[in-house]
Amino acid sequence: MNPGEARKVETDLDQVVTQYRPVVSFKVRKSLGGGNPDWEDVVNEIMMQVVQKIQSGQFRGESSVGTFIYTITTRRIIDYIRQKMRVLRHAPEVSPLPDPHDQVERDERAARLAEAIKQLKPKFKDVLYLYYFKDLSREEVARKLGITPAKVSERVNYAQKLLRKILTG
Amino acid sequence: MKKCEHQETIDLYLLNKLSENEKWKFEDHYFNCPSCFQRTVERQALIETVKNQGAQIFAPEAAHQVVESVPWTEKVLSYLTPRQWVTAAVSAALIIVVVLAVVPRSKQEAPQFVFTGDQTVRGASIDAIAPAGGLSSAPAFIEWKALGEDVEYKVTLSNHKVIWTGTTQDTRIALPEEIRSQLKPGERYSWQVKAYSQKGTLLAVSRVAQFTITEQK
Repeated sequence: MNPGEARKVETDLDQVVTQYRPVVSFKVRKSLGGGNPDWEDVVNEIMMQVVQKIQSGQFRGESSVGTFIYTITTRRIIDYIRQKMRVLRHAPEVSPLPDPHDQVERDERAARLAEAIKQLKPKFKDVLYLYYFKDLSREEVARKLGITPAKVSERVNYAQKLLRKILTG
Repeated sequence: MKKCEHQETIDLYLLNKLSENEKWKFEDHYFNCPSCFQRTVERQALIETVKNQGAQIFAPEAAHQVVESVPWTEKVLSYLTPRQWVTAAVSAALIIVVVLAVVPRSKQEAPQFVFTGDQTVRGASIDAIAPAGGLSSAPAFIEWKALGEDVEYKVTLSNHKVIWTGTTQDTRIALPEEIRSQLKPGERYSWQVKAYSQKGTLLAVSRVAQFTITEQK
């Protein structure tokens, strides 16, 4: 990376953190489980590492910033899991409860989404029911409803669009 | 939100149906694609809600009734996407245009074949009517069914060798008196009609009809 690029990355650090924190959080929560109370600490550590590595010039622009952060994220997650397994092997600890505020907020969002799903037309609800609730494959859903697999995806995507409209409308 | 080629992968990723390699590839992708990341978060919320609250959202009777009672018209219509239906309709219209407009114009005249006397035309044939079988006297006419308009018929009367030939545009022809007088009782005679177009093309051939004149005791 030439000095110009280094300066640019430095000036964009705040933006990098703002943009990638939700992405890193999503990946960490998915890997560690949504109920794991450590996820936020792991995310903070990752974001700190990202900032330090960029500032110390370790990000040389050989890959995109996204890929660079993704690599740091996966390594940290692997470390965390190894570390936890070591701890569990020697002294199993009681799993702490998730953050109650965060939980309440997510429950509210889920409740609103559930209400919105109820308002969808049956043809959209059928697809969501079979595909996500019954956990059938796209092809099985297509066979059951007498439509093409591509149509299944199309309906799910359209249902998502309608839900977005209901929730923001 | 712009569309992305990874859109179909989102479900497979969230439903843990991707291989490790595919998973890494997609994760690396959404770390670089805000649009896909946004869709993934949104879809995750939907899947989580359906999985956790599905029993309540989809009352069992409603879910099953609806699945069973999808009308056939909707099934047929939903078999293709609107865009595919439009494409199919346009293709069908083009085919109809080609069939109705282009093909008749480019149609060549039917090939004309010239047959030798030994050959017959398969398919079209002339019905020979009379004479046939045993007759008490020499026949005055030879008769057949019409094949169409502007057709010339050539009749051949034979008995081992050709005795007489005649042409007409009618569906019957009179046997000349001198020929009739040559026909002998007890002999077997055959006749055949061939139909020709105005241009002289052989159109059809009758079967070989036979008759005999019974001997008068």
